[in-house]
Amino acid sequence: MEELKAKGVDVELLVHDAKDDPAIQTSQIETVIGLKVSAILINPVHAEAVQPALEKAVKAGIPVITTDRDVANPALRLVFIGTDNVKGAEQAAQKLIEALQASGKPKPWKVVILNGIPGTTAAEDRKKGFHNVLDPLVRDGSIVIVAEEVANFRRDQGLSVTESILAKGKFDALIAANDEMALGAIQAIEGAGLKPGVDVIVVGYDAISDAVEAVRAGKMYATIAQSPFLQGYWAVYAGFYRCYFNWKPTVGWIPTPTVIVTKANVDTFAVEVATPKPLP
Amino acid sequence: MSSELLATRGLVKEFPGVVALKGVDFDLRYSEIHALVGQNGAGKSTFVKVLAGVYSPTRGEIYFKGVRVSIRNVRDAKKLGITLVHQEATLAPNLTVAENIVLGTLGKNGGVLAPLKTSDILEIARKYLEIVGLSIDPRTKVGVLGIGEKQLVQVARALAEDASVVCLDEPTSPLTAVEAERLFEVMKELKARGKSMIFVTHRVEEVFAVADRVTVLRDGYKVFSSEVSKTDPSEVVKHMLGREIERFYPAKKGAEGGNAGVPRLKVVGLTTSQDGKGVILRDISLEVYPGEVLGVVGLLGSGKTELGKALIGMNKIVKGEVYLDGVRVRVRSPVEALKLGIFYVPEDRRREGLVGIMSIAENIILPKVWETSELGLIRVPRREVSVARKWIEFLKVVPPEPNFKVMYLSGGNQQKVVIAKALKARTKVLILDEPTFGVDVGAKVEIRKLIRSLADEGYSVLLLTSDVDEALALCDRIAVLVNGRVVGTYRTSEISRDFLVELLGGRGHGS
Amino acid sequence: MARKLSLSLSKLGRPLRELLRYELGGPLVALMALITASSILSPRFLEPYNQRILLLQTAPLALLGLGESMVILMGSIDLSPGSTMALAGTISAMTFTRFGHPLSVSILVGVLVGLAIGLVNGLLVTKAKIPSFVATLASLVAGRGMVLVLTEGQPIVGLSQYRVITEEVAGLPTMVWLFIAFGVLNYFLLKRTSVGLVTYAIGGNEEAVRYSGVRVDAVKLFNFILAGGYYAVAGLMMNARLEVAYPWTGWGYELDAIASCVLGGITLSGGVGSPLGPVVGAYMLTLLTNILILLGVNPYFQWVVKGFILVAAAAALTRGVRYVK
Repeated sequence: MEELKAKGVDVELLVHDAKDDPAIQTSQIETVIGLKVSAILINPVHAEAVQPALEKAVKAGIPVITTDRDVANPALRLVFIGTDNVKGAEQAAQKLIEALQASGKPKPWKVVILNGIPGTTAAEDRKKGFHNVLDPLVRDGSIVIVAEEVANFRRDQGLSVTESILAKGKFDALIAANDEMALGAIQAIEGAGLKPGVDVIVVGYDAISDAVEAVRAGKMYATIAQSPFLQGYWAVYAGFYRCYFNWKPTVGWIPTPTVIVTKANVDTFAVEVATPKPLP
Repeated sequence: MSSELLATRGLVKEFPGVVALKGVDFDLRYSEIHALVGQNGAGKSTFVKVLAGVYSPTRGEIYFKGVRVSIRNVRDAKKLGITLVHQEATLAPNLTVAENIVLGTLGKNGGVLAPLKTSDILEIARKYLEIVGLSIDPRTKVGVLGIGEKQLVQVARALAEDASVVCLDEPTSPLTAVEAERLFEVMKELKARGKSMIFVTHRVEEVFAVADRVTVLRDGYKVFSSEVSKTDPSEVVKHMLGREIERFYPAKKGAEGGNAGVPRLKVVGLTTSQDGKGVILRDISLEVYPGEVLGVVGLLGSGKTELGKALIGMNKIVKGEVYLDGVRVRVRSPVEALKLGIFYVPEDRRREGLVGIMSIAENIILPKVWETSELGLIRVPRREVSVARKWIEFLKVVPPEPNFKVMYLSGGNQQKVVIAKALKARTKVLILDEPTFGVDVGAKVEIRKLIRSLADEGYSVLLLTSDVDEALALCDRIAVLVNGRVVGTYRTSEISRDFLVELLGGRGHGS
Repeated sequence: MARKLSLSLSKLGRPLRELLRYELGGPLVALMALITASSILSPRFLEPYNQRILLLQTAPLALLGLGESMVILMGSIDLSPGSTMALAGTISAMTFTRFGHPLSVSILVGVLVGLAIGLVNGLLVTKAKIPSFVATLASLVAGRGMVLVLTEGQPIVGLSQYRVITEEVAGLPTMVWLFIAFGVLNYFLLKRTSVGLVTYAIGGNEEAVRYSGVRVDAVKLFNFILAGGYYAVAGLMMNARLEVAYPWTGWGYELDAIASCVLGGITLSGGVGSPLGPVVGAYMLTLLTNILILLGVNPYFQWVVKGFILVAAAAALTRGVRYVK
């Protein structure tokens, strides 16, 4: 935004917080339509609930750009800018395999998968990404998936589910669809008298602050950082291009990159994901 | 066998802890009204419920038109054409009369999913309402009907289901004399149409008014069966009681001589709030002396129950004063009433008097429960049982088992347990609301004796009753309550039954 | 041979029937059946490690169930267990980390928070005369909201000292001893005190108890408050288990708490059931999740199996109490 201003563009940013409430967000959209803004950049709190409000925006000729989360009807927005969860999950799984190779543990490696809330996009995409990488290795016999359970993105369930999986026997690695479940799993692994990071390699997703600490402490091998900065940065540019050059995106979804966080970049990744990159 | 429509042989029904039927042989002929009588707890209600499939029999055989059948549930019974008209009306109050009548027939023509045409429903309903002699609009909601009307609607429903055997479980107990008379007419009409009926009652006079045959159950056994024309009421009653009837009313000793000193309970100008349900009491003044039974006589809807509840703080008093032993008191809740020594024994024992799933002992110790507890908190079962046993013996509760569940007791014994609660809590003023209502003859006598002896021991008893004879026999003085007002207070010795009945509006009814 | 078998079966049948006479008989038989089936199906099931984690996982749920049973036995319902445990855990954690109070004070504060929510529930039910379902639904929503406001949705870290609750004493983790102790306390309270008698009586027939001059509202209030305290202890246990105060702790646990009571033979209409029922019920629920994972049943299918077993158990248990009510 400051960049654009520096370049001499006359632009102003209005920020509203919907507190994850579709009702609040709807009235906010209606308000800004009344203000006749040039573009709306929105993280929709619900895929369907805010669509009626956005329809009004489209009717008023205001371009809508969704970030982080998308709406159900793609016709309502110009473009969606968000993480490619399948790709991010693939990176996470590859990192897990790298760590297993480096550990020198005997094959076949025993792997556990913890999935998120069934039916949510994030859970389904990440599950798909894990399997894209792991399934070929299962077929060639280098890994065995000893358990694949649902822990609903929750730390307490990550703990109790992993405890029960451990009752079936020790395993070599665990990959979770978010950090909360991975942290719960680490708690369970420690509770069973094993050392996370040594006896069991754990990979999470989201790079929440607790998880980054765990990576620094060597308990979690890796986690995946998304780029909220780039989502916002690109969204502003998309709006700007649209308004000034009547830009028409060639794709409906511009994926933002994901960064793998390991001990090596635990102190620098934050800068990395916050570095401006030109809109592809 | 062919002369019998329905027969049972050695029918046994056991409940946990009690055997309700101990091998009953029973016959029902075609087009017959067969009265089934007995005291409360004799097993008559259980018997018709077994026939109607509400309970399944533990042992024994049931024959229908000479063929052995098994009735495992209500559907089985209905298939045979046996329906039960319940003691408590089992109609849906939120539906109309017509809808209730056709409800039971839904399964028959084209299944439950068959489309319902309002005009058809109304036509069917009108037809059967006419047979039972009810001239009400079938579109009326059942909730607004009186009990007598509800009962006739149940009969109409049984007819709509094409029942050949209609079991009537104490249909007359909630009815007025006029309503009961009307029911008998309907029963005779049904008999003329070829239906058979089992008529459960504990009023002997009704047997002779309507039935062809009578069977007496006592304690789960059939003890007597006869053509009505070949027996007489005293024989039937003798079999019901199993012993000669004792003198129906105990001798009065009491404070007949005049009430000197301070009244135990004095009520001046009591008026209850408008917002409460039920009858509003206006300007009620009463005095009850130690050792006295004061009768408050009023018909249903006169406000006697409301008076009892107002005195223990369950109905809001907006005006007036209450004095206990000459001291002004305010009673805002049963807790405060109990502290002062006022206890109300409700008319509706099951709902307001007892916890059915708990034992006799647990019910008795419930008021002032801390008294049997260590430090007022920790229960001492031995103490509880010994306290309970004392009252069980004093009041002759049967069975004399402190751990027996109250729900399995007969009405009279349940009443004794509620009175035991009051006595255990060292009540000074005992308010009894219809204490002999729904209680069998033998227990009635016992409870009346008990009330009298309690007064003689110095308790002050406020007897709320609609039974004129009971009041005249038991009370020292009688206050007559009409529409929430006391229309007069009299010394029992100074008034006649006729005078009292006239005061009540000429509608007194016997015991 | 066949005769011998049927003879030994009937021999087994008699003590079984005898057992079923007791309040806790049905749930115990169901539990024994589940344990037997589980140990046949999975050799891992009976291993000490598995039994230990089962107890650890049961402990918080058992406390929720115990609290819930105090309310259900009165014929009311409490929907606030999950939110109460989360709020108690969160405020305790904040007392410890943000305000730097010692662990003992923080634990006390957590328990007080639970008691306070119970007090609010109780007052809403007894004084404002709001049906318990609605009153505690409000606590469920508002309580969770307060947790999210206080934590901003982020876990509160730095609770490694709470580990005293999970550390082993005399062969079992402290929290297992705790839930055994609370189970015994609950049994004593409900079966051996006048408050317990009144609690059962209220569930049996509240009107009759009121007419008996018993302080019905005071006992109700007491039970709601105590239930809140039980939920708080469960929240502190979860703090210790996760070593963080996790804002989504107990989300949806009100249903598990109610299910524990039902599986433990406590009827929802009130007045019937053993005080230890919820402990048995909570153990069964935990066991079910555990064995399905041990057997590697497809996670989606696990829910189907759980649903069926819950219905079967509830049906079997209500059959037994039909006479009573």
